[in-house]
Amino acid sequence: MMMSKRHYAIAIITGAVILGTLAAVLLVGCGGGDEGPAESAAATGAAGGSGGEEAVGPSAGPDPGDMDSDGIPTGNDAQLIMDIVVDPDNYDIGEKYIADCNLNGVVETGDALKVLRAAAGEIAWPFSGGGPPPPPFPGDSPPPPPDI
Amino acid sequence: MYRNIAVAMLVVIAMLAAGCGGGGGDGGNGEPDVYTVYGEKAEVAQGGTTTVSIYLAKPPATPAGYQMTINYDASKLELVGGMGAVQVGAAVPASPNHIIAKNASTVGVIQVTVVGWNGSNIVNLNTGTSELLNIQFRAIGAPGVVAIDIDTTAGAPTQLQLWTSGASQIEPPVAVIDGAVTIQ
Repeated sequence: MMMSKRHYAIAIITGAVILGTLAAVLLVGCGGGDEGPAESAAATGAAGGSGGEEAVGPSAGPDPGDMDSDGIPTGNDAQLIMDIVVDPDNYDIGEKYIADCNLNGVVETGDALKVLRAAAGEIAWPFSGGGPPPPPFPGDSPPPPPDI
Repeated sequence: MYRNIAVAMLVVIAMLAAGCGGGGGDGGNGEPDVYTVYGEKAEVAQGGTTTVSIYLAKPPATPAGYQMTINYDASKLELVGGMGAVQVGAAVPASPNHIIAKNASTVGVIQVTVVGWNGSNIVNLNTGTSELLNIQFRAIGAPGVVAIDIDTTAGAPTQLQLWTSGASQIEPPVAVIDGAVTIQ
């Protein structure tokens, strides 16, 4: 069947629309790799240790990330977190809890980097907001004996 | 004339579509043109040793650390010297400017995490050099192809992740291409 000039004109218009769509896809999906958004979450990069991280409240034990319980964020804390990342079965739940600096329930490389940011003075330390930790139990005296 | 224009337009559309869709990597050792983590294809004689590198191409942000799990067939390959077979690649700042933790206690599984750290500040990886990790294997199995699997299973231990110096996770790679060792 022969195509009329009208059919060709319709085909050309359709092709032009497809070309435009492809060009848009190329610009957004293929060509933007070097300049696209970098991170899944905003990194404030607050220098000087003046904040930029949300406090997560006091904890009963060592501050999140303070793996060696010396009260100072260091590369050693990051190393200990990374040891848990690659060998989680050899660590107990308490150690994993302390290592989970970003409180997402998983010990991962980002937790070590967060401690290193604190060690470099980029973000505030401790992550728990500072201040003395609460006592391990309510009150300082043991609970009264039960009535018999 | 209209017919020629229509045909020319179809050809251009086909070329554009092929160019956009073919970004998943070349499957060889050349650098892919999209954000990819990929393994080297190596060949080794039976009983010989070879090093397989894991590479990073076109990350959307500069990473300061990564973690990954590599799976391999331990009946065909073994690590040369145990944990010493797993070393950071050239993209990682040289020692002592990085922290590494690695675990190969489970046969056939390598778990590793690396961050750049010079003792005072986080140090970014050198993305001008794409080599993240080197693993030295000895071929102990029969001739054939052995996959060097970069684990992307959701929830897998040490699932492949890349992180910025801001402790933010970089979006997952567009493509992950396993490496391979061909035992001859």
